Amino acid sequence: MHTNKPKIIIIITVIIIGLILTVITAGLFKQKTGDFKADSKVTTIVFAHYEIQDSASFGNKTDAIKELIKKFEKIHPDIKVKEEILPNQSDIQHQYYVINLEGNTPNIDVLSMDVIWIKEFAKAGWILDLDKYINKKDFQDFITPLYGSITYNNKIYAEPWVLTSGALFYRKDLLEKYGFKSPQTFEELVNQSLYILKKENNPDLYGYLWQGNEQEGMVCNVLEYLYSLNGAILNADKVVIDSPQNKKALTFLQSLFKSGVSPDTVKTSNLIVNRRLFLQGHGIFMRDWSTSYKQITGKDSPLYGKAGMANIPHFEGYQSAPVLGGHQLGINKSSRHPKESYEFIKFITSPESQKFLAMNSLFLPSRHSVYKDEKLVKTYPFLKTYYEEIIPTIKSRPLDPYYVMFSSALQSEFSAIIVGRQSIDKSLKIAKDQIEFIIDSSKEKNSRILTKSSNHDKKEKKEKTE
Amino acid sequence: MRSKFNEIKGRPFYIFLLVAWCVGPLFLLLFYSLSDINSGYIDFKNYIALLQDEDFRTVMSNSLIVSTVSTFLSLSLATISAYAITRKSIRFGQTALFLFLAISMFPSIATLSPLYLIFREVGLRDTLISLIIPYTVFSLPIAIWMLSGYFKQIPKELELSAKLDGCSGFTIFWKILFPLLKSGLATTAILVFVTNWNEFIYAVAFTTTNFSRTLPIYISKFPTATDNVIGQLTATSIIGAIPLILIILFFQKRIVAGLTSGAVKE
Amino acid sequence: MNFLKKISLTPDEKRAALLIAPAVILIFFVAIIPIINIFYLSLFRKVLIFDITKFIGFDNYRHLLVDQRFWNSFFNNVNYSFFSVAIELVLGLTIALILNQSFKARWLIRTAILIPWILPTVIASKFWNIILDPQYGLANKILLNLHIIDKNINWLGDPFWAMKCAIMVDVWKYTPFLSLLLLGGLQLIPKELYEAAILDGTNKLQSFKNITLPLLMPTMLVALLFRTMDSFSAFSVVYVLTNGGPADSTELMSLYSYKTLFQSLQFGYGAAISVIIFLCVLLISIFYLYSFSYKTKDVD
Repeated sequence: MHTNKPKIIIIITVIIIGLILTVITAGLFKQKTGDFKADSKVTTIVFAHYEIQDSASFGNKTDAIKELIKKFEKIHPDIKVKEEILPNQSDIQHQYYVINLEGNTPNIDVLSMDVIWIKEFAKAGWILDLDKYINKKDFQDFITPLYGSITYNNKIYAEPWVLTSGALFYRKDLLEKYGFKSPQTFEELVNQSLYILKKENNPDLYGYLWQGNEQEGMVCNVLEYLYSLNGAILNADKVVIDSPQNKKALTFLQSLFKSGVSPDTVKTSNLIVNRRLFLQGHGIFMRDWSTSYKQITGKDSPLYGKAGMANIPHFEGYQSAPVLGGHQLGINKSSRHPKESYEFIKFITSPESQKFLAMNSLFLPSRHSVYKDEKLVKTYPFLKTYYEEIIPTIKSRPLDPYYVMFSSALQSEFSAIIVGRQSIDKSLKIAKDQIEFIIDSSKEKNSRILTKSSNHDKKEKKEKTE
Repeated sequence: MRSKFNEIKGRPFYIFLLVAWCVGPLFLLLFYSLSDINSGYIDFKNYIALLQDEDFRTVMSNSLIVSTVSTFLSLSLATISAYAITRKSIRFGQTALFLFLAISMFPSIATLSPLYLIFREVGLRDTLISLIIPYTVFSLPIAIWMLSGYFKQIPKELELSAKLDGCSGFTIFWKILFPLLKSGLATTAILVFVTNWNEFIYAVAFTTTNFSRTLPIYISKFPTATDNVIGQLTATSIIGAIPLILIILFFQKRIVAGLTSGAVKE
Repeated sequence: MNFLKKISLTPDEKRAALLIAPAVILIFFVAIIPIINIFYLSLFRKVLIFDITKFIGFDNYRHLLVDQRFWNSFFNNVNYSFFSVAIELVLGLTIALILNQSFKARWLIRTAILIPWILPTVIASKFWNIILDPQYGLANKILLNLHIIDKNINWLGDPFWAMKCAIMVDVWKYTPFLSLLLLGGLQLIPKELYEAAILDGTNKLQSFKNITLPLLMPTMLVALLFRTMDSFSAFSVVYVLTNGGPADSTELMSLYSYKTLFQSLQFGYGAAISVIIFLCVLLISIFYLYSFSYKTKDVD
């Protein structure tokens, strides 16, 4: 059955196809614009953003962003918006941006950035400063905690979009059963957990779920304890991560496992795993982000009526310190369509768009006016509480362009403490050394031994001539 | 006569295990892609959605273009190089072969960052050619090695007699060597094609959007923790695997021959 | 340049050189120059975000020596390569022995064997991601049903299990491939040798030790060589399966290098790590080639 002929024909066909494709791709080689169609009348911009919907556990069929894009394209028929959806995890999103922005890609125009990246990207010269585009009056409508993260060198580099902060979700039904109200202090949380766990005697019930996995989210978790005790990473330029307050907070963290309040799985769990566990009824308390409120307490949640959201507790005698998060919108410096990009940003951060997003996706507004909107507050009454009581307590992570590098060290050392692999003292010392090393390196003067002018150089020259 | 030595009890059972090991995951993927977790019916909706998805079509065509073009270029260069090394009486043939082989041992991560910087300066990131170039170059050593092996199997007398008949170098190559080489070329082409299709690390670093993204990267972007996405993910995997499975079905004898002869070529 | 003039090339050789030239030029620019560049870069502190480019000699390497995360990744690599190659060898050899004779439906077996090898590693990793999911994955469901375990195991989230799972994915993908290579080698062993051994009265185990192993050695070493080098530069398995895994327990050197390069843009330090990977792979190949020439001398 050695019919080699048909196979040879297949091979020859493939080669011919290959030749044809080579000719075709010759036209594709130099195409670097975001224009996926050759039509030059329509400008296409790419909007890179994280998955705001999380439709799997949300259940809402509306894809809010796609709807808004349709609205925008109707108003601006000469602009088309293409979405580029980022991976789920913060650190992987950051990697994606770094690789591509450093690579001078023109194929991303509008990008949604986590609050901790904006200063870094601005310093690296990857995003445009928006001063010449923004409406100063309109900017007063944005919530203050965000100002710190969107500015660099007194210029604004991103327009606020999503606001989020750490939040505590709890099983209202279980707490009420034992006559508890949502815990104000960590001490209360521990006591309530231990009491309920004992009484329920359910091996599938866990006390306090939070993110222990070695990621940025875990650092946020830990910082909420540190900040509550008035601990910090930096004090002006000094690294104070090994302060006694920090050690006290971390000892408390370790005690959560020792006392059984948090199960061992928390040491390596992430948001998605925790949410699943909690929604299935396996947790009394869960630390998550406030933007999850619909998922967990809303109508489509399996815990509807049984779960509530409260502010992150504080240590007895201190204040709550939920950590600030959320994505804000900027423009890629290598974008070929900055004007159109800003048009889109203006549209999707407008009060109407924010209201729409708040109603239809996991979104919390960043504008004063939207929190005061009657219809919105009527549909989601807790927004009033969030706005009046929780937002004023929000604390930022260090507003430093090198924060992401600090975080790398923090993730490693905090994880070692949580997993129990290393002592608190040793871990904090290593973290301190690494952070000090980063700060020292950042102060070093440039010595241009490599002759090729870097990214940054070219852009500075461009700015001077503009 | 069949020696007692080779009789292993329960052989069919072990072979069944082996086939299950190899093919089981594929069937599981198929199962996940067809079943709607809620309804329990067989449902093709994942595939229908997939084939209508413009992004997926772009990504598949990217993979096809990149793999085909790089295979074609690589083989063209490899053929003439292998010809030169084996047919011409030269002293540095064996050394050249070993040097080429050494190149194939470079771990991709080592050449990644310089190439990234270069492509960035030249503005070629997120284009198909930024993938085609490294793929072509890094499949050259294997292609040259294998083709040299095939060339060596063709007796030199054929060439000599053709020369005596007055044929020029190119005619000898085209009319005499090439037909005998078709089989070897096909095998080499398949191996190179598959290697390039599955390549990951360069694609991750050099592609930004679906404009130049290849299939492995597209698949890697799916989150697995959310249930709704598993159907899409598995359907994409199945469709992405179909060209490869077709290749195996048609060419398995060839591929096996190519792999095993290559290993023994020492 | 003088020695070149002394070596005179025959006209044939000149033509050959011309034909090889395009390939050599391409390889030179796309493979050789980047490698040299990487050695050069590793001597600098090049941090793109700080915009620093400073010559620091071997400081990067000195820092590597005390970098715990680096040593963690190095030992992860050793762990990963050693176990996956060892398991693949043992399993692969067993399978090759079982397959070593003619039987019907050979094409089915051949097709099946090639599937794990031909599927992109990404698909295999994603597949195992789904199966090993602690709550919904098949693995836990089956094990729970069979009462082998009593509680869901967090396969990819537990530092103890994560690396073993990564090794398992590698083993799943490459064992059949390895068994094919070994089968090819087995089929080269003349059957007469076995028949003579049976007449001599040797049993299976002895003939395996004295005939099969030595004659299979060349094939085994070549296969092992490529597999070890491949697994030492492994990247996509851990990137997709665990992205470095819980507490860096599955972070291989190539992944650490990638993260250093593209997470904190430390191109100098990342280059140094890449250099180490390159040297390791080089050492491995030298080791194998050495044992190869050593072993093949013995066979006669």
